[in-house]
Amino acid sequence: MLDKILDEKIYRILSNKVNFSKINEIRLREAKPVVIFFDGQANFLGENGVQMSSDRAIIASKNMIEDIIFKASEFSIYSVNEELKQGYLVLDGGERIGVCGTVVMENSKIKTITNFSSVNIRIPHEVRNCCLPVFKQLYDEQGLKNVLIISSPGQGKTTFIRDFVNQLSLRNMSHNVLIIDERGEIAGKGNKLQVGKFCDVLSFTDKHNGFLQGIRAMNPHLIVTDELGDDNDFEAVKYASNCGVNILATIHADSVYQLKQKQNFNKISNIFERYVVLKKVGKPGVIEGVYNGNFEKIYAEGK
Amino acid sequence: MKYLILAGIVVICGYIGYGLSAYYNNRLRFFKNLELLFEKLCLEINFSQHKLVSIMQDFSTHNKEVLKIIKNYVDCLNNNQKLTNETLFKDIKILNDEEKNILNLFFLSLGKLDVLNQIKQLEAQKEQLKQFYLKAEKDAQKYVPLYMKLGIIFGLTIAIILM
Repeated sequence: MLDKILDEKIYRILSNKVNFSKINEIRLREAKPVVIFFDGQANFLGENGVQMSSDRAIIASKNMIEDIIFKASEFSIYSVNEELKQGYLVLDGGERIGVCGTVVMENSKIKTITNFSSVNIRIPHEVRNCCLPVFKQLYDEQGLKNVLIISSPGQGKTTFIRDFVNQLSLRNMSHNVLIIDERGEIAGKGNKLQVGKFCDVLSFTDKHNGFLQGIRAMNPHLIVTDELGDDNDFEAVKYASNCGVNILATIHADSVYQLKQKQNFNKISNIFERYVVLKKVGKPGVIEGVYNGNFEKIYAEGK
Repeated sequence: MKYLILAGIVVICGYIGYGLSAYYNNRLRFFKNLELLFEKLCLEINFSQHKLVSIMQDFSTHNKEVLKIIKNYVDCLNNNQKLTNETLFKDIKILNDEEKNILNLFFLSLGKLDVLNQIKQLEAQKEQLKQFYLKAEKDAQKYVPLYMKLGIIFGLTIAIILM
């Protein structure tokens, strides 16, 4: 899919001179060097591939940035305005394009974004078996646990949950899994990413409506969702838990300590039985530790 | 027999006159069909918000020039080609440079705006197109009968000389 949206020259360098599987992010900022997050490290993109120095790096132009968004919208920006208002677009392969530019407001609401000045293309990776070290902590003889995955952005939360549901499927654990995929990142646009054979995917819905509709319609045993953020999300989780449905969700935080400081988190803290903290390293999906419902560490990396 | 041949000459010259006026009729039909395409774009962008390429390709018309423009436009998008008068109006001979420039500017901005602004732009473009249509209609009213009359007069002249 990236071949269809990236500038021809950039794509040629990336596909010929860079190990594509190690690219996490591609960042283009107007009149600034193109930055590639390669194996978790920020590098610049030059004629000969990834380089440490910004000298002779490829400079992103406004045209390049606008072209990426135009092509990502399949030449129809008007059709993706709702996504743009949220600040991102999602491609078929689950690649997420974050955009920055001038926000046009009307009656205190975002009307659209114009005058694009930078894009951040996040490339999803399948890290197979990344959840295996802690699988037994999350699914024991009593069954599935309510699990919250914690890490700062870009550390592989989505990769982890995608692998976990895939592992359930590989083990033929015939739980009905419902993925509430708000941004189309977990299963990809058109469900093109590997999420196993027991998964139903409700895409591009907010959590409140997704949980409500999904529980009524699909009779799920486990609901998987990404990035709990505000009170509405917490209410949706609470609702699902009260309906007897298990939850696997992710949240932005550096540690369990930081998580506990989050406003209104106490509303749902009694729901989760396991907290998986991901490590801040270059690779996505590396586990630092697992905590139980009382925030006691029950698994540490390497043990 | 002689009168029959002379009548034939008059008819043929009249037909040639009609053929020469085809340019003006084609322009008229072209702008009418383009207006219908803009109408469809307005509706689809406003309500269904389907992708541009699919709206274009679903547009049904028998007008060869409009079909060519749609094909050229979609090809340019898909092949990452720059949209210029040469690429967009390839094999189209019924437009003058001013019309090509204005239509090209429109196609260049197509799909690059949010719904409201895209509709506003389409409405403005429809007004411009209306002007083109009115001018083409005026030209057609003026030149189509003129060419036909000239053809017939030329035929009659030949017939009189041959008589």
